[in-house]
Amino acid sequence: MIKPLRKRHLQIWSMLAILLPVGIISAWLAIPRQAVDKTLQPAHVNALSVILKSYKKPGAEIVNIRISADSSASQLEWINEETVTSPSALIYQKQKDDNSENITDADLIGRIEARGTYYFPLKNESKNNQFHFVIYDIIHHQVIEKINF
Amino acid sequence: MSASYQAVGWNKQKKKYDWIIFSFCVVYLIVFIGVTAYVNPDYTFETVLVRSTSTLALLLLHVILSIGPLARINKKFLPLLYNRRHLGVTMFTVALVHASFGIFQFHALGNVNPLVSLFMSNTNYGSLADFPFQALGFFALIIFFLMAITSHDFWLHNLGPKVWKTLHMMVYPAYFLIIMHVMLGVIQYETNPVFVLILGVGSSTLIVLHLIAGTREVKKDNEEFGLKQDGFVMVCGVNDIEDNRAKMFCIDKERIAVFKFERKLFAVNNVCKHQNGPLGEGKIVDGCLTCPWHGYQYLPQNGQSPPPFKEKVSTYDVKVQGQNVWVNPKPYPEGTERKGANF
Amino acid sequence: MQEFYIGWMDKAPRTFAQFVKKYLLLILPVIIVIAVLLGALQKKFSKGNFEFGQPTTVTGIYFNHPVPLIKVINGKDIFGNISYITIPLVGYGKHGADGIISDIEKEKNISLDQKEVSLKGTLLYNDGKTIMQVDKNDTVLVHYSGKQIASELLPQKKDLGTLSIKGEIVDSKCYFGVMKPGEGKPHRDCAIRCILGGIPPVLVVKNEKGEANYYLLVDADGAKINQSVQPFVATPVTVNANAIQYDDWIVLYVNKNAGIREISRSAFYQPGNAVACVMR
Repeated sequence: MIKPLRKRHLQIWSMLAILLPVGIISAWLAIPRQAVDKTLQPAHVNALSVILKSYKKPGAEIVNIRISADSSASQLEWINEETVTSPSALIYQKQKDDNSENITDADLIGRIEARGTYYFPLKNESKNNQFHFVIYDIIHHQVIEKINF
Repeated sequence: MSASYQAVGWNKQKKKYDWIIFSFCVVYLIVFIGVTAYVNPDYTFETVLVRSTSTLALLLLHVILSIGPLARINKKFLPLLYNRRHLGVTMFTVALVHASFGIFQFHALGNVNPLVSLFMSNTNYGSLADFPFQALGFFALIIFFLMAITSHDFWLHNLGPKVWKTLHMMVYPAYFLIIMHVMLGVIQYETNPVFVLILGVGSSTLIVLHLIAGTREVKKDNEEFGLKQDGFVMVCGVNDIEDNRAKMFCIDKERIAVFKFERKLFAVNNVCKHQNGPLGEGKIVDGCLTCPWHGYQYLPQNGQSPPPFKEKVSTYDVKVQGQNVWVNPKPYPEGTERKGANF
Repeated sequence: MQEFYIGWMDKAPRTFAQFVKKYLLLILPVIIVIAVLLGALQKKFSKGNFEFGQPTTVTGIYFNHPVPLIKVINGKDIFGNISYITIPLVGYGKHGADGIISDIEKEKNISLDQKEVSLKGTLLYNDGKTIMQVDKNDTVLVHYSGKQIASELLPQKKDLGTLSIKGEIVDSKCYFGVMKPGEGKPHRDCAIRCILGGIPPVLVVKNEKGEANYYLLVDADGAKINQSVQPFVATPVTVNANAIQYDDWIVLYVNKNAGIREISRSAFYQPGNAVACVMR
């Protein structure tokens, strides 16, 4: 290399020795903190006091059948821990696990969306204390999951 | 050399070099894509393509920028320097894939031209966190493009080494643009400190290597020669120079290479006409001074490249008194025959 | 005698070749480690899905407001309440659906608003929200019924009051399935281009647990706010708005004055408690 070029190289890298750390550090400090706020959905509902029966699929959902202290009302508590990966996710209740994909004779309980805790009133608890739920995608008409407990 | 041009003068070494670049790039891409797909089964092809090519190009850029100072610090790195432009063109190609896909993904199929969108979507040029980082990448890519298309010796010859070198030194501002493109872009979202650490280690390594190599050269340039006589300067002892080799001295701000060849000493300007490589670090091969960078050759007695080549460098008078070598730093016109000094 | 390297020779001298070989053997694991780290430490990709190339026909009621959408009726639940899912519509590429819908209305000389329709499009969905892309090159309107719909099928609205809420503005198309990531700085330009092209802007609000809510943004009068959100896309913002539950979407009617403010990086935080925010 010729001398001016050598000098230019050294000058440029002396400048970069300052500019690069300054650039990297200031850009690092400029990273915004993610905004956090309270969510409005699912709407807050008071949970009934007694858990009658529970089902848990780790990382996916926790399902509790709740009843009031005097057993006059029952409620489905659905803690959705997993992102819904279908166009829709509706909860249907069946009287028995008939192993079919058919939901025409099943009762529609409600719909879950984003992760969170959902409460749906139930008409009456199962007579034999057995619960059969189906998560169904109404858009693609397919069963996503069956839960029996 | 300058007699005629081939697209690429392939030889075994060059082919090997390119195969190694290719295989290393493939290894990187396979590992990056494989790990991403394994850790993130929900990945999309587009994002993995954009990210794998961007990170590969950045890695290649670090390798490219380290070769110069490494070769100055240790000559054994010279094989990496010889075909460095192949690495450069590879890096540009990979970066081009990243940029094209990025521009398509983020700016195409909209209500304005993608290139207009690139500059007009985010116009927050006054903010650091919100800075339109894609513009930085775009300008760096333009520099890489100009470098890639002028990487052939045809352009070096037609633009002249000075203009060519200046153009190719634009890689340094481009490097800064790229670092900021990354820091103000993806790092604002992918906030894992390990990414910044890797980038910091890469940048620091380059800074340290360049500063070490640069300051060493300054020391060489500032060497003082005490004894002067009739315009001659005493530079070293006769035995300090090996046969068929040279020693380089900076006298009156000019570097002069003194060669020992067939029991004679010859002095020529140290700067190779090709890419300004250091002739003083070269060797006499087949009776010619051979530049260590790209093998350009000159006859020691007149500084001319052997026909049909046309490069010429300045020559100088040398004399030997006792066991000492004396050089006159006044240059003769390029290609002037000098008889050399017997010892 | 030291060996001398010349690039145009077929073989490098032995000491040079060995040295370079050692260097390459050193650099190879470094490259692999870097590839593994960069690959493994990326943020989790979203679970969104874009059914590219697989059109679906959905039947429901089309509404122009708050954004073009189709309300699909699922039936009634055990208490007789109507169950539904509303699917906002977007256009092809970075365009909203308004143009396509108005073209259909002009061409067929009909009004789609509040009418039962079957629309063909491509679904995209994430985290319980579904969007449908309609493309003018397809037959979007598969079925149309000009009959007036029952009043019980009209949108159920509920005023949730005035809110000041923090989150990030994204474009609904990319966020809910087309792009990963469809949020944050790297995606900012794309989100702006999509929003300026007419795709409904959505405020993503995340709580401490990482659970998210999604709110459609319109201006105080219910008109499109796309142009004026441009400087605030893909960065943390505070939105001051009147919130109205519109069936299964919450719509934020953004205040006229300083309705959206960027939460500056210099905002001073104490744990869990913002004590000062700087306006742009």
